[in-house]
Amino acid sequence: MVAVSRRVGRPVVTALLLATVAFLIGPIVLTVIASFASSWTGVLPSGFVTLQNWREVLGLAETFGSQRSMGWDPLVTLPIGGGTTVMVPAELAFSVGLALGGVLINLVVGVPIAYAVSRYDFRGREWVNAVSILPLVPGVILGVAFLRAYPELSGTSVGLIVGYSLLKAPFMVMAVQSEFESMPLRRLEESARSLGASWPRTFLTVIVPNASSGIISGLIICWALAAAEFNFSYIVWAKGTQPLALFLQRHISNSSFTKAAAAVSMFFCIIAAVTLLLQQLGRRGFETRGH
Amino acid sequence: MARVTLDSVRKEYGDTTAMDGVSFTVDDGEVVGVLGPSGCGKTTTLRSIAGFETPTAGAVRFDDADVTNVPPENRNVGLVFQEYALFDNMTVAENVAFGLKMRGVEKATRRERAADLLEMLGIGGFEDRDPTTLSGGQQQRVGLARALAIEPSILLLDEPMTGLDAKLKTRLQTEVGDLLAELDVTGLYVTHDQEEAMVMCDRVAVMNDGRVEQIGTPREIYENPVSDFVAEFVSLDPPALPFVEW
Amino acid sequence: MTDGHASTDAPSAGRRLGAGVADVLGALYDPVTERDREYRRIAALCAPFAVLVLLAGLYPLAEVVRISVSTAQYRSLGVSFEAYATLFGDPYYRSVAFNSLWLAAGTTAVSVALAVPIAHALEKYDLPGEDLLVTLVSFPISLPGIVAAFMILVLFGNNGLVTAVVAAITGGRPLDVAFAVSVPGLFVAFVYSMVPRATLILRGTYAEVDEAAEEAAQSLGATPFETFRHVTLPQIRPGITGAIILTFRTALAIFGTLIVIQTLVVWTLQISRELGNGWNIQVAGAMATVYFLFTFLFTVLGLRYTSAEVGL
Repeated sequence: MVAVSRRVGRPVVTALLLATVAFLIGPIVLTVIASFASSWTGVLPSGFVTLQNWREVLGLAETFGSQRSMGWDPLVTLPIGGGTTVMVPAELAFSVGLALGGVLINLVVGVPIAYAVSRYDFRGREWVNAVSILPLVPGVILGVAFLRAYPELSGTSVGLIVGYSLLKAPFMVMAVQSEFESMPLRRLEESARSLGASWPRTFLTVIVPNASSGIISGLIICWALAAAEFNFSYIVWAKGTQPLALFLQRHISNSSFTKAAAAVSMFFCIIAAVTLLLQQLGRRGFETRGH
Repeated sequence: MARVTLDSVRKEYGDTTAMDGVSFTVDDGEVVGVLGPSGCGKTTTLRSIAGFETPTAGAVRFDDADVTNVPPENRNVGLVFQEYALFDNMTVAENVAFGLKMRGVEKATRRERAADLLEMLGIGGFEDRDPTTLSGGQQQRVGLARALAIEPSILLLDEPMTGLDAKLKTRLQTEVGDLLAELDVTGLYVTHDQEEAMVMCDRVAVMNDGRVEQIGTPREIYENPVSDFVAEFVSLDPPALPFVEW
Repeated sequence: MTDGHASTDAPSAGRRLGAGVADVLGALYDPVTERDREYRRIAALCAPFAVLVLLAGLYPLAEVVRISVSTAQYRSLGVSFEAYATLFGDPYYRSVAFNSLWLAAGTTAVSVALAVPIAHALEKYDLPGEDLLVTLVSFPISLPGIVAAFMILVLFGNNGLVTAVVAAITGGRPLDVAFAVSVPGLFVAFVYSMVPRATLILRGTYAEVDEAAEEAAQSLGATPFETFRHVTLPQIRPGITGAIILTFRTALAIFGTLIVIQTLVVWTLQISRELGNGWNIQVAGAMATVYFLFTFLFTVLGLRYTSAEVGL
């Protein structure tokens, strides 16, 4: 028994890890591959390499026009500098904007409460902490509540942004809190104040910049989660441009397998691209400081 | 610089009393050491002078002005911590010039003054460095320069040498001691290390259980301790002091 | 919102409480001591979050609770417990609740059981490419339930890879082999969403394990398994309990996956259906209320009586 544990324990646990990674990542890779195939009816997708699925999902192909005319949204034109423009599906631009709005609210509500809990001791601190890091209600329930409390507002951009910010706030608070907990908050605050900085100024010019990496990672996480939010959007959305997650669900439920794969792959690309972009911004901010 | 007076200061947290009627004066240009075991109230004393704790009773005066309820940012005190607490989002020069910036001093003057101070502390030429790339001793000098830059009414040092290695500590003790004397700084030096207090300070206050047991020159305290506690605490034999954090 | 908690002692005497509140308000309005100013800062720091929770969370939820006992369909009028009577009396809703609970409990058990060895391998073994493995295991956290469901279709659907391979080996028809759109498929889709989350929580717990004790045990001749059983496991137990509580909550909240794989009606899906079929807001509101109370009590009791640690 002793020998068995020593000999097989580690390989078995490692194999379990690798099998789980394969289970989690395998279908993602397969989806991206399938998005370049023209059909998938046998064991593996076939008919490589075609960009037709991507063109249709992004609304660049002719065939998509007919679907658009059946009530799907038109493309929007975005300037990308230098006089060139790029056409993107309206759902995409819409969701990027909604998620950014949600993230802005998270910044304003999440960073201060994370600081209060990390820096100060006060009665009820444990409860404030629990409330700020545990999701209050799931998206479906919040959706029902919004429909009831704000019938006019709930399906609009404002309603979606406010809903996203509440649903994703715990992730912001947790990310910022873990950064704060690695900083000597009390001494930083007291040093700055003894040097004559008022408390608000200390918070904004010393504490927040020192925590920028945690704040940026919180923003990335919240952005990605808000852009992909489905449950709340599904309940409250009524008309107009659809949020991205509903666009994905429509493809998953109604389109051919390879086209759905392209839609889902597009979503993977967005998550990856925004993550890189925000990391880049964070690093540039780090390098340019002090000049 | 100013004369700082604590007048019967009492500080309670719920049922515990951290300071129980502490009175003493730090004269202009004098460095007073506050010495005692952990939990004796020495850090609370420092924080009351800085303004981070408002006394439950009693008064804190800078010269003749009562500052008991004045917030820390309006007191003009310099603060040096054991763990430096430098602002990692700024360069060394920006750290040193931070207090001047808060006082609206223009940029060129700030930079010049920061460079002078760093030069004086033996780390000239480090202006544009990232503070995280400096050694512990260098960071501590930046912290000291930052506190001195505002020409504080009183410089408060909270165990600034703890955590440095013995050799560096001895060197810094002499250097910083000379510097404080040369600049005629009014200072309060909190430490649990009696040797450090003896070397650095003009007078020493020995605290125990929220009260000042004795205050006097190092020589007076060493030669004429008023109580067994003081005698034991200032004796230079560490094993006799099991309750001190070594 | 914090300040009431923060500064009043908890005595039962209402008068003292009132006086305490008055003191706090005075301190907030005109702070004298540094402690007063600190209270004001804490209140200011918590205020934006409190406003969001109030406007976007508590007020809408209160409206839902109100409409669930209303006698009118579109307005909050009178008091009627008809919706609750339906909920607790109708066997259909009992079966929906039962579906939710067993599905969430089963997938939580499987996910946490998988997450423990995964977190162990990631934190304790010196594996090549460990950072990459961590990234790969964490990536699905950002995927919504509908995408998790699609991943299951890719593996086990009619055209799925595993389906095709198994069919080719056994000679069966792919349609007979595929199980994505079935209760087991749904179960696997839940596990897909929950394993990465449970792993994230447990990795945080592992980071705090005392390695010296483990090494001591090993040096005294304990096998790796005995070390895990007697030294590591007791240390990570609060983390495991915390992971179970959070993962179970996650499982109960899943909804998108069910829209794609509609094989079992659970509580969240039924809420959506109540609204879709004739705007039955009373029953939907009652279901939302029951859900909220259940998860709230479950979390509070779980955290209170199990020494679970929640946090990442």
